[in-house]
Amino acid sequence: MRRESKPRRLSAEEVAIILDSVADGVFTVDRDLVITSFNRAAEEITGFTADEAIGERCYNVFRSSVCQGGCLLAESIRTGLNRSGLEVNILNRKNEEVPISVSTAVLRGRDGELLGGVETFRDLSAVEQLRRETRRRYTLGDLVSKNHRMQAVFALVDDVAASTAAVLIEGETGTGKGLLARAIHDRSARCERPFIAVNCGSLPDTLLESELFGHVAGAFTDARQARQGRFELADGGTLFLDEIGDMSLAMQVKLLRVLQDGTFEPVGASQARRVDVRILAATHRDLKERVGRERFREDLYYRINTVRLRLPPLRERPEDIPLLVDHFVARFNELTGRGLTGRRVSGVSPQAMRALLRYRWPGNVRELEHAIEHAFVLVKDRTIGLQHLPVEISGKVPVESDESEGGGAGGSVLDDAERRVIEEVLAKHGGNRAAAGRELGVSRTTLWRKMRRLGIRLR
Amino acid sequence: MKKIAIALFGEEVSPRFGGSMRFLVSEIGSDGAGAAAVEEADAVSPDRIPAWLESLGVSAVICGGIPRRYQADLEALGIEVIWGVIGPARNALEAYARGTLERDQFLCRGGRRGGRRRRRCCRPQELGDHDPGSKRAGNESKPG
Repeated sequence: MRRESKPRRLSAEEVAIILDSVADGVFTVDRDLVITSFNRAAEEITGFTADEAIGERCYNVFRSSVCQGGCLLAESIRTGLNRSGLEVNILNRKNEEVPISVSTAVLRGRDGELLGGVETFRDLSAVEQLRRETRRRYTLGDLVSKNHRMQAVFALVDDVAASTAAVLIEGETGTGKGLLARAIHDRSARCERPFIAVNCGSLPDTLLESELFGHVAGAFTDARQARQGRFELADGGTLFLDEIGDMSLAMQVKLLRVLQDGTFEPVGASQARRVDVRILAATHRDLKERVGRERFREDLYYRINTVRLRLPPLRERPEDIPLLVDHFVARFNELTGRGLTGRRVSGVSPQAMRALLRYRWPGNVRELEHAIEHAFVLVKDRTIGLQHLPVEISGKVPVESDESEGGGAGGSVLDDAERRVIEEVLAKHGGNRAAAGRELGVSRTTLWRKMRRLGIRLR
Repeated sequence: MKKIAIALFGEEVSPRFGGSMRFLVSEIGSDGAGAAAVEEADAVSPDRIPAWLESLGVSAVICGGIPRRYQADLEALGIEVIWGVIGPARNALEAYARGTLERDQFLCRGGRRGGRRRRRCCRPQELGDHDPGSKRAGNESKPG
């Protein structure tokens, strides 16, 4: 079909009518970022009228989280490139935060001269509301999951919290046993009282006993002053015994006594003390199997195992990886202040996500958290790429879970340096941990934990 | 004497508290504003700015907009928040010292109604230093 005549060009008024009928906010600026047009949707989203906005610099109207150091519109005008998909929040006329997604393009005249830029933006309040609802459904305290086994655990937590039953939490290192214990405490009637955690696997018996039950002055060589144990500190609240499966049989007897009659004696004391403490225990070991091998007392096993909750490892719930990535990206944006300085990280690239999904995660969620933190140190742009991930993940080498205690991403340069310093100071003091701890400015217990973590043995 | 801090974006009032670590700080006495100095928060995150301002002895903050959480933090420390101010920071400081910040229409609290372009509150003619060549008093180039 052949046109009879050239179609007429729309008038400015007709263009304005069209723009006003668009559901997205649209505005244009000149080269100095002064607003030159402002459509009806822009008025509705921002609360400012076109009359107020036109003639004003756009950053004074939108007051977004990127206006002062990451303005996409300025970038489009400077580079001539279109940008899209950035999510920011603006402040509306009432000073309320409104989440929007932004797309920008450069505006040029018929002869190619630079006129300014155009920005379209969409109100994401409803989307954000939906996200919040999804987050609420998939979140328990600091745990995030949509996996059906995790959801089954989440569903039990309120009932478990309302009871006084002893709870045993099972799961590999890094699956969030401590976070689950905390969530149970926070939902219980004891939530206003202390939540005290002890890692039973990181201390030898003598230190663990003093840690749990405290000691009186003079109980042993370094005990110059009396010290309260974790049981006393947790009185009225919750005591979380992590890695209870690593506790020696001798310590298990002492623990059983507290659980049976609520009394204990601090190291060196002659009188028993009574406490009201709810016990939550956790382990990465198969306790039933340890009972069978007589490495764990059967009576204690049944005492701490009224309710058993099992957290599956991350490799068995890959559907949680994108959700957890979003969760940690949002957290590190906030922690590092990037969300407010225009350097907000929006997520990971498809290649990086593929690598994250392929990896075996021996250190579970904690390792994923560290991987995202590692990427935040390296990433300069808004997207985490394959090159920003730790090499054991980006290198596409699947690592088998060895159920090892440390889990995580293995040794680092910092660990090596710390190991070297500790070994030197120990050697200087002939292996005396108390003296080495004093020189290093850490307690004997802390030094022991560090030695254990770093694999340092006394010669 | 009252110490105030104006969040800065270049030479202008920052459109959003937390978007910049720089503040124009001045003491206001009965004879007006004292010498103003630009101070930079030594905070690693904007969350720490309220405590830093408190440590300076600031009792009022002026800015363009401010997310609610920062406003709550500042007010919890007893620091007054005056938001909705735009234009050159030094002009806003003088208007505040004269007690005419609102009358000069620097303020654009959301509810203000009537009149054309009420938010263009720091036009040169309103400040008595009219410069026909400039869109704003003392600020011909945009902040960077």
